[in-house]
Amino acid sequence: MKRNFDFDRIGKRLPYTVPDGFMDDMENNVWETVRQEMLPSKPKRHFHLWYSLTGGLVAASIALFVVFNLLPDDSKSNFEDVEKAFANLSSSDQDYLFATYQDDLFMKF
Amino acid sequence: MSIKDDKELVELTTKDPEKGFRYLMTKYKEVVYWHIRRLVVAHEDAQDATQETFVRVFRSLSEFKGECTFRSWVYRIATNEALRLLGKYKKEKLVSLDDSFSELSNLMADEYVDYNDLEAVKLQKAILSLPTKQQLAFNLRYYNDLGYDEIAGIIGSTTDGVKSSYHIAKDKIVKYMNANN
Repeated sequence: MKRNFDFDRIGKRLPYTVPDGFMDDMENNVWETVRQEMLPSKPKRHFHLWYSLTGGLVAASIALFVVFNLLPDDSKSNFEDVEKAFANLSSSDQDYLFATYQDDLFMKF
Repeated sequence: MSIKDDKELVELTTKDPEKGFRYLMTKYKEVVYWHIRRLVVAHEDAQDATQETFVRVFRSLSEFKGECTFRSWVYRIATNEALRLLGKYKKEKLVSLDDSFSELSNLMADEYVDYNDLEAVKLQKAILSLPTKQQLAFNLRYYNDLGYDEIAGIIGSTTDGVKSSYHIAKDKIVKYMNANN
């Protein structure tokens, strides 16, 4: 005769097993993972900033090199022209210019 | 120091993460593992899903706002992890016709199953033959003694829906067990 199934007969029994020490090992595995996540991360190098700064410095160096070495140096001839023009002025005009610009910061050498 | 409730456990975890973590694991690791194991069957899968559950719980502890009980929240994360794993296998099955994966075949292949306990194996087979919602309703009620409303919160259903799923599941299991007597 067939027996009707009765939940009470079996209760909460499961056929499943686990390896020895599994629960503790699992706990430690999880802790290791979360502990690693909690550690302060190493400060990140700001490569973007470094690249920008280096690029800026290189660009500035090239610009200075071009200004002082490659462009035609006509400052000397310009100064001679100014001296000639000044010599052509009357003495009163020369006195006026001296009086006006002798304290000018940008005219001092 | 003894922890009276889950609120204290959450607070302790914020203040002293390792101590809080140990309490959390002491309280939940076994129930969560067995809840997942009943769904995914294979020990290794259950282990992966359980570990992932606790990493997620710990990682998102600050996001727990107390809208449900902490226990329901943990069960929900665990259930989602188990279903995510099963979903992944089912997707793989769709793309590979040779792979005949199912939780039932897992039950027959897993190393950590006591096949001598015939009735217990048969009961698990009966449960695994149910649709997922009925399995969840049955397992959480029968094995974990949770209330219908709490189960509804965990599986995203209504209290009446869970009651109905549980009773249908129970009837189907009895029929299965008697038919395969």
